[in-house]
Amino acid sequence: MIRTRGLVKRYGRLTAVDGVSLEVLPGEIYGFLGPNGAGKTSTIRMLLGTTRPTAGSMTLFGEAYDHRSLELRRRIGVVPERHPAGAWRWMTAREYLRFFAALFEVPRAEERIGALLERMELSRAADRRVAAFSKGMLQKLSFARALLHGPDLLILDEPISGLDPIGLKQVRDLIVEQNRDGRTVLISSHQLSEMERICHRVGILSSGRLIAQGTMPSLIASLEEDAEILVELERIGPELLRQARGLPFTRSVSVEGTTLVLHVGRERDYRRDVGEFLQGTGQVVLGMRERIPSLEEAFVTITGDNVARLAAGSGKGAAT
Amino acid sequence: MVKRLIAAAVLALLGIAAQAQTETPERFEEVLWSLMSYNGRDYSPTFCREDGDMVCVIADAASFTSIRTSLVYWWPTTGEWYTDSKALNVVHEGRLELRDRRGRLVDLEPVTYTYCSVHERYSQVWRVLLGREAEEEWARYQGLQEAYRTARSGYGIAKASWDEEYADLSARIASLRETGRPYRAELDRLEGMRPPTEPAEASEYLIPPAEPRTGYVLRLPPGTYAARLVTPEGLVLEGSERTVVAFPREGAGTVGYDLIPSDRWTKTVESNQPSSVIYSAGGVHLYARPFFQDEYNDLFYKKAIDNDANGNPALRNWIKVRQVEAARIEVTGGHGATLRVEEMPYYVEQTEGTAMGYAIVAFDAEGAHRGQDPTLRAFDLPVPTDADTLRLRLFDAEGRSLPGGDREIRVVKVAKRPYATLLLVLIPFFMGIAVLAVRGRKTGI
Amino acid sequence: MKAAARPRRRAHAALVIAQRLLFETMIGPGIYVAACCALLAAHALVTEFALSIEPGGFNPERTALYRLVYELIVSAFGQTFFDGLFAEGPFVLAYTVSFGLLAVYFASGSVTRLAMERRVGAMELVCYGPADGTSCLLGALGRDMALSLCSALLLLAFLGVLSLRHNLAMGPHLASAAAALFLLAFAVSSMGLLCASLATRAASAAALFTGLLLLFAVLLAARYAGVTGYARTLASALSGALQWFSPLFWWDLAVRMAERGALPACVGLLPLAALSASYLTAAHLLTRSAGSGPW
Repeated sequence: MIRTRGLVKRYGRLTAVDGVSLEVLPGEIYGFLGPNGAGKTSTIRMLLGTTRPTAGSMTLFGEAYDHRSLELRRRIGVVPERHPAGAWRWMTAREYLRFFAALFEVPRAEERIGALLERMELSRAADRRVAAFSKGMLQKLSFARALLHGPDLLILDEPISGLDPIGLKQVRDLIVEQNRDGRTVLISSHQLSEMERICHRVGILSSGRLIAQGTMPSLIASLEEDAEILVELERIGPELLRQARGLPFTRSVSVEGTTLVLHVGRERDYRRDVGEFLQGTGQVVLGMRERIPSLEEAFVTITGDNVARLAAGSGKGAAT
Repeated sequence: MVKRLIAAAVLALLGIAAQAQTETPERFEEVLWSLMSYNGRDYSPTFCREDGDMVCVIADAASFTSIRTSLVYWWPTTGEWYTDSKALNVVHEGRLELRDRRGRLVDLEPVTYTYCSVHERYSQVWRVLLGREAEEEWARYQGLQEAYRTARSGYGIAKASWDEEYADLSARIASLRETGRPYRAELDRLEGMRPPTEPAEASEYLIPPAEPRTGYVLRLPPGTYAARLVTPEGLVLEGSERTVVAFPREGAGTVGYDLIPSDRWTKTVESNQPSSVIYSAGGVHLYARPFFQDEYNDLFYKKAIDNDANGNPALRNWIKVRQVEAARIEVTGGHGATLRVEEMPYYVEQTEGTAMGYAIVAFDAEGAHRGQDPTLRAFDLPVPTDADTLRLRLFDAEGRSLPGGDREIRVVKVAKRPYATLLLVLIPFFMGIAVLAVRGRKTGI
Repeated sequence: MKAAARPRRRAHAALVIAQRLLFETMIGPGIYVAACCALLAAHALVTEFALSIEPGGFNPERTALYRLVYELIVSAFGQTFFDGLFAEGPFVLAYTVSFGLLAVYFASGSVTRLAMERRVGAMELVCYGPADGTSCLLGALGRDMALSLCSALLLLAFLGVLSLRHNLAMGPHLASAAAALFLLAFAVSSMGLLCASLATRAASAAALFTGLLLLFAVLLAARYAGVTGYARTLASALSGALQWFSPLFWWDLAVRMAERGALPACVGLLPLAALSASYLTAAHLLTRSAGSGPW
């Protein structure tokens, strides 16, 4: 759907985007992560054609993309981080959507607007001025606007920031629903826990460079050589500990309270072997699971000490 | 006591003001350019002081200048500069050098010239005569003056003789009456006596010709020139340097009007542009005088007439050069009726009585205005109050319509409530209220 | 994207944006206040003119307003200028003042609006769609021209009513003045859009636009004013450098040439149209290079 090769953007001496080569596959939800000032917004602006790249190339929907092209933008829906303050204050929500419907030449616009307002639960506020909308309502209105013309690609910049839990769930459900309807979604967000839940793949940007890209498991696998199997037991004795350390597939064993932590290799899933071992010891197993690092942990690691290692091993680590 | 003090203070202030008015203005000795500038129809006398920024003359037409040293002074009452040539008037001779922007020298010829003012058919005009014509005119004027003096002298003798004879005859009649003797024959003789006719001075001049003087003819192609006077000793006369602007006629061939309202003859209305409209409140006669017009640069023309005048260099102005002769005006009124108006002579009389004012009346050469000249020759255009629009068309003697001579006279209506149309001004305001109200109701605010 | 499709998209986007801007203008109170002020100015100048007519003609001393107008114009530009201005009647001045007021109001509204929308990201949001910065510029220009045209028609109709009421003539000078002023409004709007493209904030854009307009107006006035000496030299020097960029200069030149019959008005106004095109081209290039995002 989107592919960039060596995308660069400089503002004077500042290099905001430094050779970003990302790929967003059709039908997926792609999370675009990075700390503030990493270059996410600049990259998005180049994708949307509102800023000209300094260097590099882009393809969109399989076509080479010219930033001046107006036609391809009709297939993209955008939800920016903030509704522009002070603009369109005097217009009602319906009038606001009518404007964008006219811009995109949406057929049967009134019908479509009505349906979207209904979907976003804004029907009652349809004839109220945008100036009176809350942040959550503005966000939903933004979504409605982005979906007006039935885009193939949705680009969302911090779509859930500042929302209450209900609003957050609504937006999350909406994103997932749109993806299920066949839309590719590119989300830029700091809400890593939410991204973890809905994104198929993520790309991590730091100081203008894409330092990691791939599915969650592949990213995590690239960070850790060992998997961790956690077994919760009634009690852990020294004999058990000694036996566990002697298992051929364990690399190390540690205890966290009443939980036995076995560090094993990633070549295959060793939980069955662990289960068979514990059965042999006659221990009562209260619970067993594999500990997978969270996206937040991965993010911090990636953008912290492991930047150099990952960058060097990016051919193996950034598996798609 | 207080009133007396106030009165004294007022008198003192008046005295000071009067003193300031009558105080002799300061005079400055300067090298001046005296000018007789051609203004498109005749000549206008003016002068350029040392700090004058330019001398302006109409291009390709003869204007005259002489360089002299005189006294100048500012007269605050009129707000103008004047010369005191009786106190000082030194005419400088030499070569007047003019160089154009490319540095080329323009030769000027010194000539003998004189000028006088005469009354022509329509108005006073200045005439300038050159060389031999100037000498002849001066000689002729001298001759007329001499003849007048001779006739005056003869008249004096004849009058004295007549007075003496009249007195003697009167005394004789009185004596005969006292003595009861018949005196009829002497009385008839007395009544039949006519005094000698007083000789009249030559009336063809309004201002007689001056003694011919030597000056320079400024007949220059359009352009700007740096000028100075070089004395016979070869020195540049200090204070004689000037910038001379010869400005061309920009346009010609249209007709303009001067219109004198019957209720205010001192206030002439001008209608110079062909598209201009003449507005009147009605109830008046407009005495129209059509003129052929030429177009000149506003600033330069005004300075040619009066060197101290201000004008607008970015604008053009139509100047009346010659009244249209033997013309005819047709006036078409709102009802389609056409009035044909011929040019007539008129006389301006001061109205009698305590009220100050003037009346324009038909000129009566044989009666009330015998021996006088008409004040103006014009077309009497009545503008009644109930007229709407009157259309003028001007025709020459051959009956051809003169270009630019058509005008409209519109009688302006002022309603009893002229500000009723202010209601229209408020329409956008009410529209705005309505829009905001509808929006407010629709959007819940 | 085919080369021919971009102009069409841009034109469509400009039209939609212009419609939106028009709508926003019409639902706000400002335009109604401005219209009232313009009509009031026109009404005052025409009605007071009618009241200044005596049996003997126009006497500006009769009313306070025209005493003031007379003093201002004659002291600044001379009697000839005043006579020429009122040769046909009061409508040229009345129309120029009222239309000029509205045209400057529309243009300055677009200037601040455009700069504000750019700063807060509204322009960028529009440009996420099938529109670009140039579409926004053209939309603003379209809005200004539509409003100017409507204002011109409204004013002429209003002046027509006054003309009938007072039997005053609406002559050929008014028609040519109206046409020339419309094109001048186009040029002033274009200049405003260039200012909006140059400035980073709405206040800066408004200040730049207002400052330039005032400067050009002063230079034009100095051309006609009766100043002499150093003031004239200074004015001439400034004019020589800046007048080529001034829409007021080209407009005045065209009007003067048409009055003198040197050129038809439509030909004389071509340089003004070319200047407008230059402003718009510069604004387009600036917007394209800077992008439509906030500065």
